[in-house]
Amino acid sequence: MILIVSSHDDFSTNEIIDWLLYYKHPFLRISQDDLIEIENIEIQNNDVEFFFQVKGKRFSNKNFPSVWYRRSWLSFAEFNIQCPKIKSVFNQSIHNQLLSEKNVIYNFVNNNLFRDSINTPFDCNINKLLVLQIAKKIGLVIPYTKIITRKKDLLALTKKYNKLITKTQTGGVFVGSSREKLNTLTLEVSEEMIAEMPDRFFPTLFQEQIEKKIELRVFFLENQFFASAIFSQYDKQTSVDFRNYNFKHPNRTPPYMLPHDIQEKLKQLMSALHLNSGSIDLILSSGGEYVFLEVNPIGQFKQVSKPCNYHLERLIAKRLIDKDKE
Amino acid sequence: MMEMHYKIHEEVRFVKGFMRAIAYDLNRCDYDFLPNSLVDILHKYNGNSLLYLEKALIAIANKTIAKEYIDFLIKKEYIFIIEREYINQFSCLNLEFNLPSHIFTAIIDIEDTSMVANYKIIEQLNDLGCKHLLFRFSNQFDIERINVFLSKYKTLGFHSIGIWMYSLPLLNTKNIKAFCMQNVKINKISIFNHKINKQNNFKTVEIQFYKANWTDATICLANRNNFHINITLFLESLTYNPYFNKKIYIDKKGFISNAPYCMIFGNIKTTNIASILNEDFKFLWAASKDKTFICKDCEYRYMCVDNRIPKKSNNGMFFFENGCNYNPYIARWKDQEGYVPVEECGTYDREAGFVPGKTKIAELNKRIWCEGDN
Repeated sequence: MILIVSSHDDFSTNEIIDWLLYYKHPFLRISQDDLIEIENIEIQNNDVEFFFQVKGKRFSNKNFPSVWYRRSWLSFAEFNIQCPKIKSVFNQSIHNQLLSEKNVIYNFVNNNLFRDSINTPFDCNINKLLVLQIAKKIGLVIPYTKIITRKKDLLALTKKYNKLITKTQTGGVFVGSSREKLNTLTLEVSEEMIAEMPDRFFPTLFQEQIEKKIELRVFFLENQFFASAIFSQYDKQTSVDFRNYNFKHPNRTPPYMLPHDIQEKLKQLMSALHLNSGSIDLILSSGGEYVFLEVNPIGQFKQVSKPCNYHLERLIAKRLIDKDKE
Repeated sequence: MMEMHYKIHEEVRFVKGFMRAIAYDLNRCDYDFLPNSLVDILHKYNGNSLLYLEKALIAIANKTIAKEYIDFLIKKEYIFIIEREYINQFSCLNLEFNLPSHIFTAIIDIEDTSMVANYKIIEQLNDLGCKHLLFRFSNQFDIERINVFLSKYKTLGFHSIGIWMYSLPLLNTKNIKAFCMQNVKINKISIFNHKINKQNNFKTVEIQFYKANWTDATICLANRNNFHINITLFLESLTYNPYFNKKIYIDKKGFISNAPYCMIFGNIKTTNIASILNEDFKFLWAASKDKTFICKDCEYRYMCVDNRIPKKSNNGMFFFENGCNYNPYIARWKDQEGYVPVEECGTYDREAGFVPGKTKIAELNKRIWCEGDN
């Protein structure tokens, strides 16, 4: 059986499930809303088996040779540890101990369940800066990158590079509340922006802005590449960050094939990051260089799949079915 | 300077008709007319030097027009210009059409809800991957009864629901809005027998009132105000007939067919839906416009959904018994000056197909396009 861990409302998950239903292949879909009750965990030689109940049924990890992690996380029912009613050092210490015990079990179950899965919940924790460092080491071109806390350093940088951009160091795309939302997309650094900045500020990432022929959004699945060229440079709204979508006049996004040497380097990068799937952003610079920007482990592949008609939803479903049969 | 090459954007498809071509802008959902000769040249030199394109265009027009065409094609992003070394990195669009559904759309006439429940029609359709339902309720159903009926199926995986119903005394804007709020999958409501014709949309729901009685005998012919340009319809139309493909119709007595007025393959009371989905049932699915006489010569053929039932000729092609509103041999709609039916443009034989009468067509086109005020 296939195990899918994803949030309830994720549309891409629904589309993959439609294919599993079409092929009549059994699956279990869970999210953080489905409490998992661990019955027991048995550790023997190289083998681990644990039994758990979820959605009113009993399963073993061995039921799931094929696992896909998309969104959300696993919630464990019996780990709902209550804060001690009487606050004492002793009670607090027990409480802390229980939390530590919980973490050990939580990590162990997660590690085992997602051992051969397509993506894991840990993928979301990748460090963007580390990714850039590894990419550079592998021989990919990256934009000049500096994290700055002093205005004077930023001013010095503006003299060196014609245009700078700034973006978050995490993969977070949503900051704020339902009423107020911060823009976390890539921003071009303007003179006004610098003028308003204090002399010392929170460590902020700056990069040279790469002049581009096209942007590339690449979906990577087990050493296969599915790329789409984004002609974002002609549209002011999308020229710095194509995710600032122009819905009335969408960018052209035709299918693209990455050159062999870039594919090889990206394979090395993904392998070094222990990622078997993800979305990779690149720029083909006006100078003709493929510049690596970042990897999003849990990327939106729909934007690549639909306009290029790659049928990625079917491909992922088939891959999950194959893994289940292996 | 490096030599620049041009390439047609894969999301733009140039479709030639008998008289003219259409640029289908699949991601911007729009279209433009182009001369067939321009499309031939664009395809011929696709991926080659921009200079070739320019030269070829000058040969059929003149320098100014050639430049205007190129500017237009670049401005509309129908083509793009890039150095030769990158041209081959741009791959072709995969033209395969595929859906994870055995049945995608269902039309169900409802007079007796117990039949729908007893034979688990909706559940069967859900199991077959059906995503779009059109319920056509008889005049026994007011909005409250429809609401009760729909409430049983809220958890199933349908994407959209359309409703046909009669305008009955208790119907008003307030309860229609409440009805839409309670049934979020509804995307269109058609209300018949109403005192006036009007359209009143609510949120994303299109609500159309008709004075007329509903009758499925209405033939929905090609209509230039009702064309849809998008990648899904385009790809489906390349291989399939987008009206009949993956569709099912169940009438009020439970008889099952591909669509209204099509051959009956069984009754829901005695037959499981999945068991009738054989090649015979799917016969019309493959009646693509490219395999249909006259339609195959029409530039609108991948944006047009019409519900005429195709008949098969002995040579594997399809034909329609009823004519269309558009004549592709003179590029004229019925309501336009100079229109003549297709039959007057050549000889039409259901087996041999339509053979355009070249002299006759040239004469008609000269009259319409050169002498008229168009």
